[in-house]
Amino acid sequence: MLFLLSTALAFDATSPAAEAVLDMEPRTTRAGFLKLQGPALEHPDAAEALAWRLAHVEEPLEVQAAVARALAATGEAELVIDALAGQDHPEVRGPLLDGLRRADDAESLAALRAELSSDHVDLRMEAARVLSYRADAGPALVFALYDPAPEVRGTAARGIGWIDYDAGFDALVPLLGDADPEVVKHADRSLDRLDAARAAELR
Amino acid sequence: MLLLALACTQSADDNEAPVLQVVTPDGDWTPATAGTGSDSPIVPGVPNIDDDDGDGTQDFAQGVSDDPEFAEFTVLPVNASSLSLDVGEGELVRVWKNGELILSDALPTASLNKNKKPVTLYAEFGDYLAVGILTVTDDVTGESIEVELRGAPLILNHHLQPSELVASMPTNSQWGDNDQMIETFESVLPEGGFLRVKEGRYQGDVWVQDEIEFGTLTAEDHRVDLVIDSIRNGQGGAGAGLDDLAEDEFEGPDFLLGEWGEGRATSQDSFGNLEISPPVEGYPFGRIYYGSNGGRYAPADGLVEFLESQQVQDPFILDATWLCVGHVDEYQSFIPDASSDKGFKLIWSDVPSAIALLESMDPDTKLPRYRSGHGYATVGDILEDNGLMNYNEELQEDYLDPELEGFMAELGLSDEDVIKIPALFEEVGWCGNTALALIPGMANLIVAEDAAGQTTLFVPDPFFRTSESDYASDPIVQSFTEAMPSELRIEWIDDWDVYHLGMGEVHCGTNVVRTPADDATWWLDARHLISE
Repeated sequence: MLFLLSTALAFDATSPAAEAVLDMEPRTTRAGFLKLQGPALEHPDAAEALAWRLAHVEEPLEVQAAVARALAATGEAELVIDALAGQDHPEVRGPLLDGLRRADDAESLAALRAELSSDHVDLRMEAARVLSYRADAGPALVFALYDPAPEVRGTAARGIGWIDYDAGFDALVPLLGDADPEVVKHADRSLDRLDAARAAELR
Repeated sequence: MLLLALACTQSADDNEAPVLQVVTPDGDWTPATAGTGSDSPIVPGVPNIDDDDGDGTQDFAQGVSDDPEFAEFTVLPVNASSLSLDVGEGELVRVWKNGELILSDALPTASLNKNKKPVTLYAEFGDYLAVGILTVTDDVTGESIEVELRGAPLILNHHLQPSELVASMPTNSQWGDNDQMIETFESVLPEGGFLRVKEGRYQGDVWVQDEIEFGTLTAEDHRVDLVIDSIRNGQGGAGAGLDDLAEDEFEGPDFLLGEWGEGRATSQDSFGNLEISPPVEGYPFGRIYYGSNGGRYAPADGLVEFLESQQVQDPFILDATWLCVGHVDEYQSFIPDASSDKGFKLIWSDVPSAIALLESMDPDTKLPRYRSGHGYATVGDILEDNGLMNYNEELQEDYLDPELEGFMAELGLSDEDVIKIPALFEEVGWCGNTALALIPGMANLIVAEDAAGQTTLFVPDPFFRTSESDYASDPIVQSFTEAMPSELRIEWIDDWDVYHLGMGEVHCGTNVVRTPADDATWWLDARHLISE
């Protein structure tokens, strides 16, 4: 494996823990994509090592995506945000976003909010999906209700109900007339979650 | 069969004027007793499309004059008699007598001399369900008997058939090992009942379920196995991963290999997405089902068309596209149940029962496996994840409930035929809002007989407990065990590292060769399903 020595990062890529992560070979999941897995990821420095590997090691795109998945699974939001800043390819950005699902800070929320403006519809949908697990995501999800892609609107509509964002009720109502039945289903269900009585009056 | 013919002949000689007779596996017939069309006598035979002499040429194409796949029947021509064979366009059926080809599409008629003893004929088939109508006519009386010559359909195996061989790949790599699973198979299964698939030979492609599917072709006292080789090709190109497993370990005399479909495989071409129910009303060999959305996420057209053409296991479709992997074996299965009228139970993944069990637990219960594997350290962490709970509730409402309703309707099942087992799913990042088992999918099990012949379930261990050795403290284990028929042995399998975290479970990593059912007389029991 070819990797470049970094002087910009304080991270010691030659430590045993780091080397263990850097030497990890991805496996093929049953879904077909690659995944890094193993005890090396349990080490406290594993997240840093993954971030370093993603930033500095030249690897095939599907391996980079596997590294991104592993980094996301650590839940280390700061490292994920740094990684997003250095990655353009959707196949790497996409897996990284899940690493912000359990965070609750403004910076990670802003990163997800920014992703809702991506040119890439799958990234916008993934951002909306991740936001749906965050209690602080109400306004961002309302923004996504106006997305041109129905899969993004539907995901956002679903999320507003999941996080009980009452202020999103009125923004959901127009989606009952959406051309896409999945969007309508999610909007209807979320309205019900937010205020069943008001939702019933709309039907 | 021949003795029966002689006995019938003698009886006829003793009591009345001899008449034309035909003896087939479904009876002995005279012009007075033989029906026509779908009521006619039938001669079933295994298609002679194997290569018994191993010369690389299919036996039917070779035109050998004797072969294990020939289907024997007899005719008693009490007078000079005529034979005519009506084969439709493209139907590959022919008839042999004394090593001589006497009837085929190019030889539509033949004659038999008057004879006091039955004349033995052999039908040979060149394709699945190949059909020819043989008419035997007494040239003196003008009476005739119509006989259907019919090649066997491919019948895929279901979980109620006895197991003969379980195959799985021992592996030990960076991401873990499956030592406990392999040791369990080797200690529980009969001697010679386990095949170790070589990890090095197949590049660590552990998904043995997905590459191959087994079935049989049967006729009176004859069986040929068939392994379908998926176009999955080891999730790569030709020769990748498990692609050559079928050729290496199974193909041979009396073990055919077939591959249908072409083009770039999708996950739906994997055979975890191709399952077979046990026998149900109207379908004595069960029904095939697979996951498809009718569009991009569907098995290859060529495979679907072939399976439909076999008729006796009339396929139907489930929607498995809500799953990231997208296979029907991720959330349901069948197990034997001797106490049930139907002889089986459908086990079906169920979210509410899982949530109820979790809510009955101390929320501070530590779940070590889930901490590292899924980011949930305790039971409370799972229950407090509103997104996760809402997601699961919606999966139940949008997919699991309606899919179950449709599944039961297709198979004529009632509520008492179904055991709901606790299941929780989670969304997979960057996989289109689709699901994957959070608790190892216990429906993704295999059924096989142990060395003593006891039916055994090899079930993914849910590890929903703090101490791995303390099974009694695991409410998921207890719930599953209590729900199973008491005569079944349960072996809990640690499939966590190799399979569960790799997006599969026990069933995904195994495959089972099975014995055809004792009463696998498709020519009698499933003839109503075969079009003329």
